[in-house]
Amino acid sequence: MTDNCDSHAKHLLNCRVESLAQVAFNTYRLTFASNWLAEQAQPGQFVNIAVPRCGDILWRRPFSFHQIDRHSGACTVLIQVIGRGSEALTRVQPGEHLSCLAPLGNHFVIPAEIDELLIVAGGLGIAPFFFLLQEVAAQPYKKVLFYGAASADCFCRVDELSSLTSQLFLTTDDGSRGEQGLVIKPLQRFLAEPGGKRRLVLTCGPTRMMQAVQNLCKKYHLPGYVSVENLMACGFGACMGCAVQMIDKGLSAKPFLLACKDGPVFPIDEIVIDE
Amino acid sequence: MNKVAIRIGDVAFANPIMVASGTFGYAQEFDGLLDFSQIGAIVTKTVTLEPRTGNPPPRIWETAAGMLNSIGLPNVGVEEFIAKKMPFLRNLATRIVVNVAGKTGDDYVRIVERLQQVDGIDAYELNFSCPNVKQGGMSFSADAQIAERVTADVRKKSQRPLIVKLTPNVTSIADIGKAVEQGGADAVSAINTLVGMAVDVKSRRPRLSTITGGLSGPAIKPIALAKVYELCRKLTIPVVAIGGIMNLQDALEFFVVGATAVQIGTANFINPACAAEIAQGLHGYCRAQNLNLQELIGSLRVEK
Ligand SMILES: Cc1cc2nc3c(=O)[nH]c(=O)nc-3n(C[C@H](O)[C@H](O)[C@H](O)COP(=O)(O)OP(=O)(O)OC[C@H]3O[C@@H](n4cnc5c(N)ncnc54)[C@H](O)[C@@H]3O)c2cc1C
Ligand SMILES: Cc1cc2nc3c(=O)[nH]c(=O)nc-3n(C[C@H](O)[C@H](O)[C@H](O)COP(=O)(O)O)c2cc1C
Ligand code: FES
Repeated sequence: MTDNCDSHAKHLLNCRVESLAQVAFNTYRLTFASNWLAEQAQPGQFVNIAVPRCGDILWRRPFSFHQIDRHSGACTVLIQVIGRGSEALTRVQPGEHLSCLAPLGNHFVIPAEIDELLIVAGGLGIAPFFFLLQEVAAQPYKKVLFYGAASADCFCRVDELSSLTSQLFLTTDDGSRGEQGLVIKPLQRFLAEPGGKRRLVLTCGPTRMMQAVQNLCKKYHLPGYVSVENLMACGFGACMGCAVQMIDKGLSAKPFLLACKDGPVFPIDEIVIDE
Repeated sequence: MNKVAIRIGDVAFANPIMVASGTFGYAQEFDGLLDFSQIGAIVTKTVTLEPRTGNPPPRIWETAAGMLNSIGLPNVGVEEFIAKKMPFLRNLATRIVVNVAGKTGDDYVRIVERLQQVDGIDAYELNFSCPNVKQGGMSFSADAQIAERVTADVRKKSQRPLIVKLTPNVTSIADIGKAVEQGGADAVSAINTLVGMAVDVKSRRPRLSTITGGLSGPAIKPIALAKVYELCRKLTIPVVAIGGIMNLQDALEFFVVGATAVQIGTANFINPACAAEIAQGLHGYCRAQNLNLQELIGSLRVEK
């Protein structure tokens, strides 16, 4: 949201793949090594990875930092296989090198004086919140996670997430684990109960879920942040392709922001959440 | 000795590798990712008289070995460009080519007149061809007479070299090229993007908010080569080649068909250091082959 250019923050890195492991249905954890990146990365930021051995795939593929070990230099992303790029990235071998452009984008800023941090994640939207929860583990505020997935085998790292949170609500579309239905349901109930005075909501996931969270924040006058996943050709503000529309508040001179540079994290009352 | 230096008008460029308009911003985003002094020139994102917000999303779509865009020339307008972007640009150890576009011929004249008062600019590239601005560019790029007249009008006000950027979306690119040469252009650059389209069958919607957009990337290289070849045969002024260049080999092909310089576009998104690497590669190639770039340019062998 600022105009200042912290362009020295990003680097083109050649990173060695340390490990690759399946963690859920169609979903893999890819770990690569970079001491520098592990020092720099902040929760909410992402890495743009070149797809190896696929000559006709043009763009890099963006993935949120999922876990960072600041001491060992291990950087982990969570990859869901949805097309050819993600598929190829889940076939790499340890020892291989990946071209990574990172760290990119802005990050979550959590004020220390809140009472409750409410995180609403759908599917792979969980990816950045593992890292975030690790980073804020020592903070005194309550952490509540609402985590929805298609079915039981789609959840990632629930036990670890459970130990990082004060309260965890799971939902599945098919009812195979947790409550059946949308993750919005437990969130609605939670917000209807009297609770912490200073709540902050964070969300990432499918468009419709984020729209519903946006509406609830409006209804309950809650501050919140949303992390968007627009298509990106460059990931660092060069192509202007990843435009996000701002909500017209009458005074806004800038109708569009860039998801990769001004975001991917935006105040939830500032942007139009769209396909 | 510098084997790869070139000239456009009366301006010398240390090497012929430039970065294409709209793919390098105003260079700030690339700070730290490459050594600007290694590239021959930076062509800025298009600057217009008034600020433009650009098209609504979605603005981009990936295609086989390419991409579609309909960014819509968002930019801060010429005054803020001068105030906010030029201070960074003029300090870089490379040539600065400012790409300008207008709704009318008069817009081009007014922008260039204004930029004439500003130092740190080495040349202008007139964008007669962006397919994403509705009433914009189209007539200039498709009508030889208008193209010639606007070039001549700008020529009168400009003390700097003029490069006119041509669209491939016309019946004869060489006719337009001839016309702008007649109008006083010092060089032409080609090609801008090709009009293309993608559709989502599930929603039955176009992938871009503007329905059609501009195709770029490796997918268009063969077309760009053919257009550049045609221009090189019919024009006497230098041709700056653009279209799908990803590596040194691609760049060399354009020199062989006759290009004096090349611009790297979409490749900057994937490898931000691409242009610097190609420039380094070209130095190495000329040294290894013991030839001057001038000997390579137009060295295509065809049976008569
Ligand atoms: C900032 C950011 C962070 C992201 N973080 C993660 C992450 O942590 N884990 C993860 O698995 N994915 C993440 N993504 C999404 C991920 O980048 C895409 O899933 C990936 O690029 C798809 O590449 P592909 O080649 O497999 O699919 P493609 O072959 O390119 O696409 C397959 C299908 O998926 C659709 N698609 C592709 N990308 C997206 C997208 N970004 N949003 C919606 N639909 C899309 C396409 O339209 C197409 O229909 C993130 C995206 C962004 C922008
Ligand atoms: C995202 C994007 C934005 C562009 N913006 C401009 C622009 O503002 N002005 C212009 O003259 N050309 C613009 N172009 C066209 C490029 O400069 C270049 O002519 C074209 O992309 C073909 O080269 P390439 O295949 O190497 O990308 C743009 C291209 C892309 C991909
Ligand atoms: S992806 Fe290129 S500007 Fe955001």
